[in-house]
Amino acid sequence: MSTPAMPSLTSSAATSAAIARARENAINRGSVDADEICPVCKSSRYLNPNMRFLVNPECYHKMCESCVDRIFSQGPSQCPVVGCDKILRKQKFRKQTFEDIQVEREVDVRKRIAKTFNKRQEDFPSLKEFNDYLEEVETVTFNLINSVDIAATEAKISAFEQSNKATILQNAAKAAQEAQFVQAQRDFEREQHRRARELEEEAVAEEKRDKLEHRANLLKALQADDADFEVAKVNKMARKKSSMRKENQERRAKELEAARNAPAFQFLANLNKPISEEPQKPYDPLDGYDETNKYFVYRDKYENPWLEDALNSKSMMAGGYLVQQYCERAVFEAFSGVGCFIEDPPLSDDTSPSFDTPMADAIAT
Amino acid sequence: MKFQIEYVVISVSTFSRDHRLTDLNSDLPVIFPYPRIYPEQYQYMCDLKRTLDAGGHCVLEMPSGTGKTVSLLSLIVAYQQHYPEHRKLIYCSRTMSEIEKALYELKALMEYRAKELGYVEEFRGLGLTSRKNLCLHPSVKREKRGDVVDARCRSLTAGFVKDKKERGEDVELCIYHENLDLLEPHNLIPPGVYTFEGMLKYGETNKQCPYFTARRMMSFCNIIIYSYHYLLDPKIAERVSKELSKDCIVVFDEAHNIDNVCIESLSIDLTEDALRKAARGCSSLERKIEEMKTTDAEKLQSEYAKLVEGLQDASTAREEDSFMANPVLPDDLLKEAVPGNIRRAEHFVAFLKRFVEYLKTRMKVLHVISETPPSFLQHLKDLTFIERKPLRFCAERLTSLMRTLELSNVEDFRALQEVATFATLVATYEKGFLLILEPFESETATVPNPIFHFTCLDASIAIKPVFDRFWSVVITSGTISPLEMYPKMLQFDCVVQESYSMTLARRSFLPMVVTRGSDQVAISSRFEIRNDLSVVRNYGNLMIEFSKITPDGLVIFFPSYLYMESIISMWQGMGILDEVWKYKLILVETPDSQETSLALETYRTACCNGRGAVLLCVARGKVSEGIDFDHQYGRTVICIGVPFQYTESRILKARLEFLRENFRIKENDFLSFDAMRHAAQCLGRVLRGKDDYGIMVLADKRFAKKKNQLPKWISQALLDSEMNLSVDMSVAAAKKFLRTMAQPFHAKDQEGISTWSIDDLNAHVNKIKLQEEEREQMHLGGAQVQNGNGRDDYEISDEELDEAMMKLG
Ligand code: SF4
Ligand SMILES: [Zn+2]
Ligand SMILES: [Zn+2]
Repeated sequence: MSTPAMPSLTSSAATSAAIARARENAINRGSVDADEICPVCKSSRYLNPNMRFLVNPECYHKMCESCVDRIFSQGPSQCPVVGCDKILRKQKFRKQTFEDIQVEREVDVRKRIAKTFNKRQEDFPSLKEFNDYLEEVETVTFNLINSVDIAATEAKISAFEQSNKATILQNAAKAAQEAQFVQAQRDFEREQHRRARELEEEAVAEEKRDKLEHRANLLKALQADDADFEVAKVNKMARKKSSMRKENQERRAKELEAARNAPAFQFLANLNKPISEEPQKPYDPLDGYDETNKYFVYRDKYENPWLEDALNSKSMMAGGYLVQQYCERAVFEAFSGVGCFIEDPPLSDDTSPSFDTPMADAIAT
Repeated sequence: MKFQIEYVVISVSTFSRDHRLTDLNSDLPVIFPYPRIYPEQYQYMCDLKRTLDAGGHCVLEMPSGTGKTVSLLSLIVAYQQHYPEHRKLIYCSRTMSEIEKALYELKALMEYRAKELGYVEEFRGLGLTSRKNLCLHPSVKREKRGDVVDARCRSLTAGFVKDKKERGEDVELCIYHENLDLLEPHNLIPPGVYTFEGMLKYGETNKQCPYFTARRMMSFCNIIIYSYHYLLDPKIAERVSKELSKDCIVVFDEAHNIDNVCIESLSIDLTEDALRKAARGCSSLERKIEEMKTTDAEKLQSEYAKLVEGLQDASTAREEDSFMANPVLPDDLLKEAVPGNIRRAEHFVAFLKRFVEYLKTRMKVLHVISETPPSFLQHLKDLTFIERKPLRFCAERLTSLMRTLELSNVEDFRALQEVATFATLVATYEKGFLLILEPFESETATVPNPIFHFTCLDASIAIKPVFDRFWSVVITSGTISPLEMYPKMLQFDCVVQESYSMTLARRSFLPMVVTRGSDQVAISSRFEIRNDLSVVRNYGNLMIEFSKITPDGLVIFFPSYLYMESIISMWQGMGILDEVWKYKLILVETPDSQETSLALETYRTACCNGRGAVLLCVARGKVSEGIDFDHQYGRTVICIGVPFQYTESRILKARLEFLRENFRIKENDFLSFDAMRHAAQCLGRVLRGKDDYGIMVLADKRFAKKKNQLPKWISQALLDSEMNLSVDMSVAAAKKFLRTMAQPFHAKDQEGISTWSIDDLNAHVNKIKLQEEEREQMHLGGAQVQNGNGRDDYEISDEELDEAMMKLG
């Protein structure tokens, strides 16, 4: 603008542009959700500015609140939209969250799917498999939304549900715990925030107070007989105070920092860690008792002339007598107790003195 | 002139790089393209060299009008040519005109060097700016808007368009771009320095595209000059600045606003209109996918296969025709495979649609909401089952999809891209960002016009990659005080931090603080009293008086448009404007840039033909940043009121809180710092050289306490006796000042004081050397200990002995 100052013009131009923009928005909004007229009773927002629309997740047909009251108050009834034969109940009606009714429906489907398909990345050996799983879930969801292969998909879902019952429950629990933790953390942070703010305000106020006080003192000191001396005294006091204040502040800041890492909070942090489950081991009746010995080895065959008969006797073998077993027992008994020293503290495998295997071998033969 | 800069011993132990770049103990011969040098220029170069040698970052404040750019360039060029590493220089400036100016300086410097050395060095210096300024295509270049030029250019140059052509389809290509492929890729343009004009001319004669020539040649340049955004804006930086090596020297000139640039580059505003467009974009993507499924299903399948394999198409991503690059993402994420649930094109589009719909529902709320990214994500997940992880991949995935679909009219998808970028950012950063929904444009508005601000609060996020990647980053400006603020805000360590004073042979500028009117009533733009009649009248009187005594141009800055408008209309009523009108033309800056440039033109004409003019403008407007008022264009500058930011803005409040909590910068400190840097910027506008002169008036009571927040060179010239003047006193001082300025002043008077010839310089160097030696002499006794080698390891110093004795005892 090259003419002498004409401020009013520019300001009005700016505001009028803003108004135009707002108006355009309003118009656009109206055209996008052209939901100013109830499709059932045809009453419009002009007549009833408080009109609210509700949908029922059975068929997602939209109608106004008064229509819902009128039609469904007496009990379940058929949807009034032409060509829709769903039976609807009043309490299922709800407000629409999304502008796009397709998305509204999609989200309902997802809500259901998310309950079943809640596996996590930890449940898979590799990222790739997890991604494959995710894609499959997405495909299932898509089928449900677009009504493709409904029967097959439903079958798939229930099959998955059956085979993964335990994991589903576990993961649901985990998710709940996580949510709890997040909430706790957020509360904690907010509290921290508030406290920090408070402290700071306090400090500022204190500083201000001290300053005022100092000024008052100074004025008083100037009136005194020995002005110079008094002033010096007041100044010194003020300096001391301010350094004290600084110290205080620093201490408080440190306290706050410490609180942030407080054990209580640490405990909460631990909550978040997935409950580490040990993989199930096969049942061990001996509870860890180790049978293997380290003093000797069994041989396949021992030279025992007096057992020759038994070795070849058919009747003995038929009765289940094994020469091998006899020998093994003999060797075992011969060595039992070796390595136990009464004075020694409880045995631990690697510290106990051991015989060399070859020697034991020799004895056994 | 030619001189040597010695290696200066750095006394403080700076952080040492393992990779010492240069033999530090050699002198650096510098060729300076003028016969005389200012002392501060020499100082500046010494400090710059110190920084480069040490390998670290620095903040330097050099008075405006003392040839900052030329000193910077001549030192760095000397550095490049002298040492075998030939470290590349990336010089970033703010505006197109500043970039152009730097290019001209560089060109002149190189010509001078050639003359001095007797041969032409192998050297390439190029500037880069947007396609709009560099396009040669006869129809594309006629487009008015930059983004349209970009879009049209892409549709003429994209890889798939070329493929189509090769397949024999009838598509148009840009011949200027095609011709580039016929040249050697590393030698698209012969060595030399090209200004934009030169680029265009060369491009026209050789029929090659200047824009792509510059871009492709970037890795073969010794000096690149471009705008901040090419390094800071993640959306562009990824594409343009990726291949630059670590040892590049990065300079941010005019960097006093760099924190705001950083913040803006990571902030996104979404409006209802944008969401509507994004939703439309989703639908048309859907349609395109269906189309492609019937015609060319293979392409989609191959994209899908690639994504399954987790191959981030690294080769194509870097291609210059990629539509959009990723916002800063941690590298590990970029290497990870795209999550399974957005791998298929249709799944991804549905995902985007859901996200857009969700944002739309958020827009319906009629009260202000501010929340952190985690709480946003939580709510998003509760409502739509969108997880954080796929959200992070949004931008990346969209780019890939759009490339697969071979979309050339990207214009239609701009809004969708914006949403995708937003998605990626919000899912990537937990801290340092805030989401603010403002349903109404102003407090009083009744028609909702919601804006969803995703604002970055932490300036260090955007610039962090730069500091991490490059060894030497130089941040410099005429007004960058207080220096400590910048390392704090941007989170970096600096080796050198220096502010230079201005050496002057005569007092060539007169800063004053006017705190009260002639009637002794305090003047201030403080909100409570700014519209008081007496304050307004006093400001008016100030303007009248100065328009009477100032020759030629008078520039007046106001803190905001709003205040300017209200005060002008009050002046109108008081007849103040009529009074000024007798002496000078009155011109006003408006938010409209075309109007403003017209006003500026008129202003300049009036200043040149002796009529003189008053320019009323705003401290944060265009005029205060980029336009110089040298010589007759600005003899007096008046800063009416402290240019504080509008503190009621929620975004500013959030940022203040962030600064306080994370960097321990107090709210008032920051506000005051921010106001003073703008004030200093305004003052600096009138003084653009040592032979220039001007009066700087700070008209607000509150300025009296802010002297130390002004740049050193201004605050040094600000005498204590001129810190608390009334209007009539200031006028008297100004008159006296102008009288001295009217005395003839010869270049000779400056010699040896504010300008040095080579002899003066040598004398100075010798003096410094002598001083150094003396100091060394004094320290000779202690030298043994300091030297390190001189000390025997077995020898025990006195202290140690004492200590040992104490222990024994
Ligand atoms: S390639 Fe270059 S000349 Fe051709 S349209 Fe793009 S910018 Fe213009
Ligand atoms: Zn109805
Ligand atoms: Zn129905």
